[in-house]
Amino acid sequence: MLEITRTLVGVVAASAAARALDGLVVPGRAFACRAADDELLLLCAPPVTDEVAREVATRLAALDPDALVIDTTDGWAAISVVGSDARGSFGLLSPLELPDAGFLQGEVVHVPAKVVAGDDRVLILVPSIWEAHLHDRAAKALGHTGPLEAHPWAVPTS
Amino acid sequence: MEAWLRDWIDRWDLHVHLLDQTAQVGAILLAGPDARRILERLTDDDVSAEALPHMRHAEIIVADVPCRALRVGFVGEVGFELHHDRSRGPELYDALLEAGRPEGSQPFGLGALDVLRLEKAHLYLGQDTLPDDHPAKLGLDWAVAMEKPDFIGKPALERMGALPLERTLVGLRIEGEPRRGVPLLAGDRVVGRTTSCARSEAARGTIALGWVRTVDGSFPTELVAGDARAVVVPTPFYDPEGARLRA
Repeated sequence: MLEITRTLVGVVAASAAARALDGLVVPGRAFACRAADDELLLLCAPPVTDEVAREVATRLAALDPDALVIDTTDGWAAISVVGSDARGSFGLLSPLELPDAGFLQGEVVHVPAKVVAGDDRVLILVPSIWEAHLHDRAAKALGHTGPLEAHPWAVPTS
Repeated sequence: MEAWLRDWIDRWDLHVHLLDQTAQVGAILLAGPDARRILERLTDDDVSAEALPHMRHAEIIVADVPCRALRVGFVGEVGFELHHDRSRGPELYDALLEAGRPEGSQPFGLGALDVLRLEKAHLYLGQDTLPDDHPAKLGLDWAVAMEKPDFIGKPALERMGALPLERTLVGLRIEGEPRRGVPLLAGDRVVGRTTSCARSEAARGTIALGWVRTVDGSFPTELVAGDARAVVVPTPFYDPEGARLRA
């Protein structure tokens, strides 16, 4: 059984000195994705995005007074592939090697993407201009018919 | 663009954050002689010509949507480019259309945009320009402040400015139907080509942009575009003083 859903996820971008990001204590309501030495994406459930952004901004300010923290939720579109074959099915969308769990980035359906892998689920984020393309290509590749249902994202517990 | 900016940040060792927000921001252009009146129905902010003049910007609320409003005029009339969070785009678009209903406002597409910007001789980069163009060849040297002590590209512009101008972009009036991408001939010699061309009601005729090369040290003004007579004319073709744009 494989389920594909449109995923509503808050995305906060934090740009700061690498050492500041190394030392940041990430709020428990967020999942940290280190996109670059000086850039961190924090994923969270949409209702807590503002809180996460404020909290991260406060914490980072103590580590790097010039840190920049911005809610970039509108810049991203996401889907989740969930099910026992989620990880195997990801191979139909991308040549990327999934880690056992955690974050990676690279091309998915031929566009730049951020990916969070879990045991039985894969979250895929692409720039929102690619939203229709992601939905269309993923649905076709994974044999899904009809519109994708939308569900809010939750931080992985393990 | 991001790579270019990062290159300069690294080269100058700048302490700068760079975040690409392109996918996060939507833009809707409200343009036309009634644009300000329509916008005023949806905002409490001052969008008068005094408060928000041409080529300035302001943070305003439009139909409860926070926007960065840019007073720009690619189509040659009063225009407000409203940049907003992408997720608020549909409600902003619907509100603008509804507010403009008394004036009969409606969406316009790339075809209309192409004619309107051509009437103002606003360029499409890549279509009206060539890879080795510089501001002087395009008649845009007025837009470069060469008196500044330094800026990226200044030495290159100074070097090219010392060379004789052998090619330039010109405005043309053409007899008959539009001829885009056709050779421009001076006598039997091909001296250039049209880059943009359209029938314009406002300019009452067929207008074009095209580049021409010098013939015997000067730019020809009487040409043949494909098989039609073409005359070099000053630009813009519409509202040359820019009064409508700045209203």
